[in-house]
Amino acid sequence: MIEVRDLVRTYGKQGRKSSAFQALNGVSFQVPTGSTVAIVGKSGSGKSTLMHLLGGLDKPTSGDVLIDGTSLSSMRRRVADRFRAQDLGFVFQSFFIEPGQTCYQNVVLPLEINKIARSKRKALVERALDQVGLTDKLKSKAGTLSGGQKQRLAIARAIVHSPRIIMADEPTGNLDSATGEKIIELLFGLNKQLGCTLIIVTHDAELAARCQYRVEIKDGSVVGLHQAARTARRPAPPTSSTPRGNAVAAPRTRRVIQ
Amino acid sequence: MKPLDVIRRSGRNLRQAKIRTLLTACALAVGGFTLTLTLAAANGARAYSQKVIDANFDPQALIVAKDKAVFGDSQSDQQGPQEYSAGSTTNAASVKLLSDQDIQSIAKVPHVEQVSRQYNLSTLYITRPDNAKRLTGAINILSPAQKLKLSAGSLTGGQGAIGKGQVVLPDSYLSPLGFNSPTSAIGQQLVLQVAGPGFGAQRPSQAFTFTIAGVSTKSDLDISFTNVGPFIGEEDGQAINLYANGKEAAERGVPTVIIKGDGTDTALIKADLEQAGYQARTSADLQSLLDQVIQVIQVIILVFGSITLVASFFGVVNTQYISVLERTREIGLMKALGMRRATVSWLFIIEATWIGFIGAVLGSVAAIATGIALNPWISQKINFGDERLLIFQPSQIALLIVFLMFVTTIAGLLPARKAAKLDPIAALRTE
Repeated sequence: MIEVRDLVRTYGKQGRKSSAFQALNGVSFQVPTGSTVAIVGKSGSGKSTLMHLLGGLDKPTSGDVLIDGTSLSSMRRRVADRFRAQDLGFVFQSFFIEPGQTCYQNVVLPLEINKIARSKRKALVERALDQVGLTDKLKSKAGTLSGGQKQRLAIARAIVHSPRIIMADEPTGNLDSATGEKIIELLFGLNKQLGCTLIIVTHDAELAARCQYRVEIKDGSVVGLHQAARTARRPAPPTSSTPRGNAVAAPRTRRVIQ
Repeated sequence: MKPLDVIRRSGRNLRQAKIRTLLTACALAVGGFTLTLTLAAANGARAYSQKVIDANFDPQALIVAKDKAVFGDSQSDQQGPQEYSAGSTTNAASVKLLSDQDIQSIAKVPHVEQVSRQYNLSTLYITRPDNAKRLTGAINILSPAQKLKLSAGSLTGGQGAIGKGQVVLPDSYLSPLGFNSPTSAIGQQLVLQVAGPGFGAQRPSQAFTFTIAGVSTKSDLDISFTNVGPFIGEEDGQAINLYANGKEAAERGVPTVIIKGDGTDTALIKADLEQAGYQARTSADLQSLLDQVIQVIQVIILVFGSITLVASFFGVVNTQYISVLERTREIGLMKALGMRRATVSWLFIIEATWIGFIGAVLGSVAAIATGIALNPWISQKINFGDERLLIFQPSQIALLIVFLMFVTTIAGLLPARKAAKLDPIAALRTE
């Protein structure tokens, strides 16, 4: 369960209204483990700030994010680092892969950070590359891959350490629509297959509509919380033990509209 | 992240900026090159001075005097001009001499085997029957501390000493005296004409006749002054001294004697001698005197070498700052993936250490290559004989490499701190 409680994030000096900028203005919602969530909004709406807070990269001015009951804002930096290293996988719009390194070296990074034994790494990297369809690229330089392949490599890196949550920030933003479609299929497939929660930040309404939960953000506030009708038809993820009724009811009561 | 992973990843990062790494390492290599060569040259000079002393001076020998001034010590027992008294000359009064009594008590010091007086002798000329008169330098008394390299003849005085009535000629004297070869000189007569006490044209002189027992050659290691004149034994020296200076002056004594120990550590003999009120110098003292000179020169060059290191220190700081800037996004990603600040910091510190390693290895390899290539040429140019000026010691080079790695590691600290402090969100926004 990911629970967002009244998140406020203010940039600039606090208490001085003129220079302070409120990126998030009291955002609350909750989604169950294993679900697919879209955070939708135009640029400048605060969706990236929300993602940074969800990923523990940033600390909220007030409010809290609870991941399965653990508070992110009260975590010390070291604990937050470990949380990101073990439980999160990031996919970015501009891939952020190292072109000069091989696919193996790119994907193995989270394993190195998590101090996984050297002997286990190769099998894990190979499995991740398998899952994104880059089995034969193990030793290729990442720079030689096409755009879609680069994003698939980034996804392999995001899943190699079996995180609980995958965060994708505009994963299709730099791809043509056909390639983007394949990436989305891949992400949804992994969500089903691995049972991890998938959070996609996007301004693409069509993509957002395919997620089970949709959080619409405008000017730092949630303006719409939707649960797709077809989520009911989806089987519950294998790792989730949360009763579905609970999860669905919560967002409605916590909706904040200014 | 495990330490080995940090080391490998930072090494890999360097490979992605090959030219920049190499150039920075080259700057460092200049310092490493200078320092390696300096150390090697000092090693060579030290080894050479050791060999020169060993070749010219018996390690079992000590030079003994009564007055520190003999050894050029500024803290002489007598300072400034002395009061005049009848019969004293400036020369004799300026240093205290070792009398026969002194020499007897020196001989009684434990472990002293031989005592040999060092007379200051000169001749008017030397000649041999039916030959021209030749000027010569000092007549040397062969002491047990000196070793002569003979190209012909042999010494019959026992224990490498020259027998009574015998002389050893340096080979440079052969052709002026009309000898064709060293062997042809052996057994021939040589006359030393010595001036007696007195002044002017009436000054008397006496001929001392010797048999040539050997011909000495100058080895590359010889210190030139040991070979300027003919060598005679101590007993003949005493006779010539008595005639040349008169009984009274001769009895005052000699400024120095050379003694030979029985194999005991010369430092112990020296301590005993000093306790008895004499000044002594061992071959180790001579060695340390030379070493001191070498040391001073070495320190001067090392300082200059270190200045180039300061320059490359800033070079490494600069390079690492650029590396941090270049990889801002990567740092942001690594932090987003949960890499700890300390680990990010280590990645950049170790990267700097790698540069230090590469630079130091480049520099020392270049220095060794230069040394191997130039050693024969240098030896030839400065008359070093078979000796090598540049001697490389693996342990020294290893230490130097570690030192350079340490220096660059320090240089990497500040940029690494900047990397560690980067805000991952801002870093990821950089396109």
